[in-house]
Amino acid sequence: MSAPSRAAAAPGAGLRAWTVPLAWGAGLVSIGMGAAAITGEASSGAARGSGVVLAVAGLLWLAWGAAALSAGRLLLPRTAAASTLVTVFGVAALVVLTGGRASILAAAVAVVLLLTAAVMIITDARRRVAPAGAIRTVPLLLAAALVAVVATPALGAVQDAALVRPDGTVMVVDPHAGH
Amino acid sequence: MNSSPNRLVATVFGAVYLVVGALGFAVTGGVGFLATDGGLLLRIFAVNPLHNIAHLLIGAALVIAGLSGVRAAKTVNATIGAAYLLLGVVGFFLVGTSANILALNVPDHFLHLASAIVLLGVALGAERGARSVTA
Repeated sequence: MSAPSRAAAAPGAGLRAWTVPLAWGAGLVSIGMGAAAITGEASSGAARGSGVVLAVAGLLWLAWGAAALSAGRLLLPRTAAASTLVTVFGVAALVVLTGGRASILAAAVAVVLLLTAAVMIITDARRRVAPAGAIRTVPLLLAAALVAVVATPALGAVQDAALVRPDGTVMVVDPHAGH
Repeated sequence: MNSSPNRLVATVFGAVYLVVGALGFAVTGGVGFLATDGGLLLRIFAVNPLHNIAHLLIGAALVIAGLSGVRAAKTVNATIGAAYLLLGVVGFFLVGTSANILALNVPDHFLHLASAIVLLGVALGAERGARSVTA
């Protein structure tokens, strides 16, 4: 990173460069799980309802991350930390309500990302001084790579879960159908 | 440009996407323009001609913005980052269907998600004093 951008980065900017991508990764997996529950052929009404709630929670995590980056600090840290636990319960509820047809891999990834984000949010909030500042580029690159590595297979598993039929078999999609 | 993370990221990512877009045509000979099963770039990333053109356009936009200035770089980084974030989720539900007109595969999704996080993160978190054109 160049000298001027390093000078502009405040203490805590490195931590924030990790926290926001983790929250975004959790948000993306939550949206994917919610969408799979909504569109899944085997989903009950309750499962679809929990899917809507989880998808909205995922969108809120994306928005919170964007707002935190724009503000230069982690906004509403106590609420955000508590919301990670609420989202974890949402993920667990979705798994239960779909009768185990939701992707366990995706659920595990979402929970790990959420809990890690919660620890980072609490750590950041406990700093006596929480100065606003620009994000650091190198930690952001590392965080982006890590989150993409764990979120990609999780979202792929979400897609597989969406294709499970009520009898437990998997619907085969023919990309050449109609040709 | 050395002092601007937005300009640096836009230029580097743009150059990479331009190279990827150009190289893609080497593996998409005989592949239909909207084929759902594309050729494999570097034996990893699935691409078809439309996907190559998208890479070239995105690369050109990023390079031009990166060379133009901080505000342009922030705007293009944010726009393309948001588009990639959306594609990061929607793309998974397109794989294996006739709607997969970009011939996306799992490595593509990895690249798109990582690009989205970096581009959006830099656009929103760095150089907050310089507003994007659309803000």
